[in-house]
Amino acid sequence: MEIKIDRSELLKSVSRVQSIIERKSSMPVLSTILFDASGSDVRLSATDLELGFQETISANVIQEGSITISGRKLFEILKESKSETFLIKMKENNWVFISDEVARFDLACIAPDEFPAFIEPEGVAMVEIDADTLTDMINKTIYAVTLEEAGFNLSGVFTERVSNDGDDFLRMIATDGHRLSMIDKAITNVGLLDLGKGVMIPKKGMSELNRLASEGGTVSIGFKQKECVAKKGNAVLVIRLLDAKFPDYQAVVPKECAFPILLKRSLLLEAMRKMLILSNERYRAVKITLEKDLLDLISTNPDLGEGQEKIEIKYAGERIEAGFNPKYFIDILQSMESDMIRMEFTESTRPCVLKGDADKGFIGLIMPMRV
Amino acid sequence: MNTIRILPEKLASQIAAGEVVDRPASVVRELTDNSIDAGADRIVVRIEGGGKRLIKVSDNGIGMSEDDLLLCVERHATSKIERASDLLNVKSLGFRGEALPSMAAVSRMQITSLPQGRLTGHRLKISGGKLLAIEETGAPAGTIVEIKDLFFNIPARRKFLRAARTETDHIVDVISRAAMPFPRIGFRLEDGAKKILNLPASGDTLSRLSGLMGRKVGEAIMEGEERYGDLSIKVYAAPPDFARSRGDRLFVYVNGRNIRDRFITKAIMDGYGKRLMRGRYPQVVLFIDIDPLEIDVNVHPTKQEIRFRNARKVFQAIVAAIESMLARSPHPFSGQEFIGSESVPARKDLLSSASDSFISEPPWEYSPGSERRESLDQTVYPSRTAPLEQSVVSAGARIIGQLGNTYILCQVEDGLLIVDQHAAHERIVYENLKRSLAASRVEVQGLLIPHELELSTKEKRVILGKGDRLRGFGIEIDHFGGNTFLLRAVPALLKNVDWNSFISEFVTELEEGTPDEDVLLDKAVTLMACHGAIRAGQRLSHEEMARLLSELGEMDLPTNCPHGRPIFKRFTYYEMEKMFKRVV
Repeated sequence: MEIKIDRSELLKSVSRVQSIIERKSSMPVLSTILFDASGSDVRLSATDLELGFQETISANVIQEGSITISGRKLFEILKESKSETFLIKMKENNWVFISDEVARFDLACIAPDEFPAFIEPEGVAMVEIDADTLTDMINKTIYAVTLEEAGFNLSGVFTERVSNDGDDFLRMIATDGHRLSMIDKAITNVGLLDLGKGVMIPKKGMSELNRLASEGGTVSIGFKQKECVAKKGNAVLVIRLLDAKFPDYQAVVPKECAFPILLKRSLLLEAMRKMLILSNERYRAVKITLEKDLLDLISTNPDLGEGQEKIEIKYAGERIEAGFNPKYFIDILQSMESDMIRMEFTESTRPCVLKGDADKGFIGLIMPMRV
Repeated sequence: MNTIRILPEKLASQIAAGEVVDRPASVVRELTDNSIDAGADRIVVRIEGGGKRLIKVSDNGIGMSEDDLLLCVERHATSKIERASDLLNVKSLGFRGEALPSMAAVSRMQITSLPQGRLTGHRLKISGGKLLAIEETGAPAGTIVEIKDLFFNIPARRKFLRAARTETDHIVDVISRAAMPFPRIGFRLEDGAKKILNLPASGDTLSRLSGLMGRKVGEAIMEGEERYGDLSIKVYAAPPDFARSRGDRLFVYVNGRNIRDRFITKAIMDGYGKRLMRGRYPQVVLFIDIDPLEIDVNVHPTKQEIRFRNARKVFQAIVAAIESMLARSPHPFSGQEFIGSESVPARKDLLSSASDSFISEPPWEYSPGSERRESLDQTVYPSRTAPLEQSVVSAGARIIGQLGNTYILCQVEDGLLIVDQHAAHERIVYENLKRSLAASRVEVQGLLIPHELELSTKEKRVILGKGDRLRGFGIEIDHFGGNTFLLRAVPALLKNVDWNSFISEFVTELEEGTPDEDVLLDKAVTLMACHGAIRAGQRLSHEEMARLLSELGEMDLPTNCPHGRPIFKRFTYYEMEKMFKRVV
């Protein structure tokens, strides 16, 4: 294989896969990027066996063929160079010659046939989603995912299709058993997606999807059996779905609230940040007391001391008291955009609900602590 | 005819002898005790056939005159006490005046003695309790007791003696125990021409200890001394890693007398506490010096048991002495910041620094331990000093990385520290939970979606009966019908727990129904810590490792997990340099 390729184009692709390639893998080939040159294109592939990413960029292909190159080293070489074009050339015994006409590198590489086969599933029904909408959905759920919760596996974002009043929505929902975040978005043709009874997208897959969507425009997305495929421009991302059941969450979402509280999001967010100051591993709870027109926050840590903040609100319900992990509030409030949020809290054994007008379709639940 | 009759003198003394002398080793113990009481500084024991054929103990003590020789084989003849009140104030090892007559009754015995400063000595021969002869003889100063054919006249007893090798082992043990508190006395044990034990006289206990327990133990041993009024406790203890599966290296001395006492063993084990794994025994030499009036040694003829007037005080003193000594042992984490890995100074001049700087231990300061027990009468938990104020022990620790997703490798001042991440986190969760429970401030996190538990009928019965106890530990369970339960809330500290297996193990503990509330609490917390801790095989980021280690530094006992497994192991540069032959 021998190609001449634009440095900045290549750098963009190579930097995009840095988060996928394994630095310290037991399979050295997973730390490489596979180059396949044919016609006037080069296709770059990277995988960690759970995720696969492919991007095709145009290049001056002098001789067709395939090579693998250490993803990390190539990235560093491209970053340091100021030249416009690079020459990449396969030599004997899996040596690769890389040159920008100023410097040259001879790199020992791994035979390309060792690279795990990357199969893009065929015949997947794809639906176009506005990239900003997708980003919004991911950002509003991904923080609630835990890594490896035993008991039930919740290490992903559950994605399903729901119908409401004849409209179809794409729903993403995540929980770690203590809090839950859920967002519904109306998406054209969402009915075409083969979501079955819902799928679990792993956390790393979600952040790669987010990265793909971060450049704006539209992303087309599709599901087939155990895989999720996302495409944007010349890039394809394939995510292996988790084989996990999501718990039955329907019963958890409170229906009605007689005395919702409206307050400024920034006010509550700042107050919770202050309450977090005194929390540690052992004492993380902030005690929330709701009484007539007052929201009282106290964090007490016997090791350190106590902090308190009172927020004036409109509230006519009964006095109610419960502990909460302030971090959970911060996560949710940070992901929201509404100026004014709606807080619904009715029973000290039931979750507290957060919503906002500008965060249409979103609902955040936080389960209280007993303190 | 009367059915009850008085036994003939000879039979009576044979029976009495059986209490004092039951095997060759007890003969050796009695005779070496006598030699020590006689002020000898060299004691040689020779045995043949495991002591069954011959036991010969020679010393260079004060010796006995002809009259003493005749008297010493009479029952209850002793030079060591005079009146009943002396019994309360025994300072010598022997005092009962039973040993020599007992041995005389069951063997062919010969005592040769020359009192210091005399020219001629005497030899007494006695067999089966019958005096055969006493004659003038030349002899070295001191006393030589020879016992041949032990139990020759009690075949029943003789039959029960073990193989020569086993009896020899017992004799070795007896001499080791006798020798420990008297380093200034040289001891030697010979079996025929073989030298089995040679402990030359030396000034200090430590070298005696190394001689008996091995050089490795001797080098690692820690010393501690505590004084409480007229009670003084001196401890030589090997670190917990030297623990053994048998308690055969527990040497306990009260006023120089070796005793075996379960009560004191318990105190030692309590002192080690969680540093020991279940079923392991430490290596400890413990000297208790106490006013003789405070103890009663006249409990049993073998004098291996002892009674304390104030047992509780002694118990607590031992626990405190061992605890505070162990607390001073290396504590590599306290108050560390593990963040800036670049700012760490590399160890200076690895090769040029003199070798003695490797050997000398840096002075350890570990504050919480030192004032563990303020008073003996009430057990006081120390009020913890704020972690911020803890002194930085070894500056410049740096996390190197994670090994096999199981161990954290950390560069410390004197080498490499390998930390077991599960054990370390277990300790952290354990202490945090325990403190929260003690303060009744367990944070309980409600579960958004209750966790369904399918239990066995037996487990169900336990939970229905004792479910209230669970609530006290921050676990809320509701009966859902049948054998199904709903877990509604759990301690917020616990993460990544497999609740099904946790609950069924927990129920087992509950069911066993320990009466002691503290024991149950401890078991529960240990179990929670085990289930709630990071597992081996879990990948940790650099920040997570740093946090783990700095939290570990705030723990009271950062050396062992709640089951007693060690949390970390240290490889010093010195060890590595030896390994790579940089030093020889």
